[in-house]
Amino acid sequence: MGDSNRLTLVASDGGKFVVDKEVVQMSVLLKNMIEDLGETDESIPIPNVTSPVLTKVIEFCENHRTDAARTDGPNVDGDDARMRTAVVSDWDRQFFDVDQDLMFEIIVAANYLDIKSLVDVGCKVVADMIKGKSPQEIRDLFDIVNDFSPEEEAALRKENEWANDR
Amino acid sequence: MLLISSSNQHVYRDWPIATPSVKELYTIASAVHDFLIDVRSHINNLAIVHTLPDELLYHIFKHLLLRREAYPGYTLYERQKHAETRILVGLTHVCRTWRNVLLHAPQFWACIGYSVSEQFTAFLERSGSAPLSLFVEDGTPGLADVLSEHMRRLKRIDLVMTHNGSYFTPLLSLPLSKTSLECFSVSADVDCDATSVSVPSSLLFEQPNLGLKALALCPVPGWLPTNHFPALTHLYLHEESDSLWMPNFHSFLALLSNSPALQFVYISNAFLNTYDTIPPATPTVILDQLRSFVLLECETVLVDLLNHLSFPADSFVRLSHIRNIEEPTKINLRHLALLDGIQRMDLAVEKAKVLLVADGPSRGFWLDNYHHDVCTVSWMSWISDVLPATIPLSHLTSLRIYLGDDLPILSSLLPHMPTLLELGIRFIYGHPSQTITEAARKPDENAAAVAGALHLSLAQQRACPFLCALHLEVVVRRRLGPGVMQNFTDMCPATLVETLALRARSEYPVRRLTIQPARPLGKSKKRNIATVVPESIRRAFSPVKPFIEEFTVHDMVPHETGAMFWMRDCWNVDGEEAYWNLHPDYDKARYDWYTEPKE
Repeated sequence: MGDSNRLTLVASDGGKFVVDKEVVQMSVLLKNMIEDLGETDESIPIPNVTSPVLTKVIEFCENHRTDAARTDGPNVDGDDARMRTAVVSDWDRQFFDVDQDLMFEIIVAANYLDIKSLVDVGCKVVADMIKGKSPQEIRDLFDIVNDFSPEEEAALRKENEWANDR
Repeated sequence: MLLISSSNQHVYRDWPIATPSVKELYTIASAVHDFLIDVRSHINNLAIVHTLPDELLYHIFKHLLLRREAYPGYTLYERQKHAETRILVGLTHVCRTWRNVLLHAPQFWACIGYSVSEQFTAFLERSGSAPLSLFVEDGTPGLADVLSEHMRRLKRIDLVMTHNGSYFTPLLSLPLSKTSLECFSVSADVDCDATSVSVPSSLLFEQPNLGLKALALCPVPGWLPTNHFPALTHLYLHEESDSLWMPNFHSFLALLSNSPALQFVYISNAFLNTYDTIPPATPTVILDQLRSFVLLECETVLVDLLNHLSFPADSFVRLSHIRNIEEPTKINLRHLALLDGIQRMDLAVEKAKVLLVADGPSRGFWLDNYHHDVCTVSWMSWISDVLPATIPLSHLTSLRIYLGDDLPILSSLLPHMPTLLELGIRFIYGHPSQTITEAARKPDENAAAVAGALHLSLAQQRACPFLCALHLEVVVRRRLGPGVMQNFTDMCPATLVETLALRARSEYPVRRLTIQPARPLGKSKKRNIATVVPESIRRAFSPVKPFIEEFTVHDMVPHETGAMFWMRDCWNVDGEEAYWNLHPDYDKARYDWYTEPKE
């Protein structure tokens, strides 16, 4: 019989991670699974998340394990007021100081695992990257191309005039 | 080759055509163009940012667009405000995916700065049926029609006054009671003379009941609303450039009594137009949900309002920069329930300047004042006579105090504090013009006064029997020179040693004595002063060591760094800025009482 306070997560590439249940329960998805499974030694597969991403997700959860009301944070449609004042901590900013591929994979994984605080911080970091940039600068940042038709472009040009039309 | 557009409108299975017509070529060019745009959209679909589902893009946009600073209505005190829409419009210009997400999110378009432009019309349209927050100026043509058309979804109106004559005009015809309006604020963009506006209150607030939760009038237009506000939680009355003239006591009490759900009341620069007396039989106004009541820069007589209010023990009352206090003893404050059982008090007084803060985790009373005429105004008699009768001191466990040159008053306060555990005293030691020889000849008066007051109040049997920690913050102003080592013996007078010895022998010792030497800003930056002075002080206090268990002298620090007075977080009352930002320098609670001791 293994340690009842720990369980094993299996990433999509087979990587295994033994983690405290308390840490894992920051994920609403895993918390519900654990409750459904009851006491078990079985590993929990995480089919949509690779080992490098799961490593980062676990690092975040371990760092934030003592945060109050960790599953009560703002959800995607939720608490605007709290989100408006949310500040990204230095640790969180450092945590997301990775290449864009990994950054977005972490956010997608957090969304899949339903870890609200990680989703929120990730989105805030992306928002900070966007802040103050022109549309073209944003395209350059994320390798997006202009896919508007000439007719749509004409409408956008009209909208640009709004800025001078207060 | 197969040429096909995403709309399936143009399909050419046998391209190239042998002999195309011009019309056909134009059609083909258009199809190619559409095709390229489709290709571009496909490229965008593969962009790493678009691995995020739309709901997460939406979440990111929320962080950018629903920030408080993006909507100027939250800022009541800034002039030249305008709604920031460029960010939103810019985001819709990045690519089709982003535009699509944003155009399907009505709430992003529902915080609007009113103008007569196409932009305003487009924003209104795109906001669908989302609750509207409108940042508007009085006198804008067509505003009344817009308000009327979207009346049912108005959540918030922030009106900026720019013209004296049209104050409130667009709102006069608006049946506010039929709206779901939560917040209504008025602020001035230019120097408007609100008192010259003669619109009677009944025209604006003609409905007897208004469901507003937040009302900010800054400036107040010379009258106060007489409606019932059963849901009002936030009330902010402020005049920045002039003074807020409230008609009389009665009108203000009526406003409070018509707003029984009030949680946050903030009034600044208020004076009464007419001094009316409140009949003794006037019922007390019950505000049983009150959390914070602030009077800032109001005249003394308004403090009397507190005597006609009843509010929960868990609330905060702040009387800040009360004006025209010629005789502090005339401040008429009866017993405040919130002070019952209060355990901590900070008191800093120097002639006409006072900071008194008594608080606990969820309650507090604050009084600060500065009067320029230091010759005629003194708080000392209020401290010694009125304070013990106004604020229950018997449960205090922690007192931090600064009394300027009036240290002897300390002995009149301490006997009222039988449960005191910790006592912090700040005092100025020495004088910069004093030479070392003079200092040696004449012991420091403040150090002697501290020791004398402590002796009077603590050397008695059972005086403050639980007092176990004494902290002295000493602002050293004496000139520090080569002879510094022998210059601090007068900081520890014999009476202090005797007091501590008596308590130790009577088995209620002061167990811990800490001393924090501080120097005024700009004073000597001699390399070793931070450690040499503490060492001298340590030697000077060696006679007390047998009578205490723990003795610490900290390194010398600049005087505000070591200041033992610091505001506790409880004074930033959670929820007070739900509808607007308080000015960090002016509106919010601050311990800014301290200034550098004058040389």
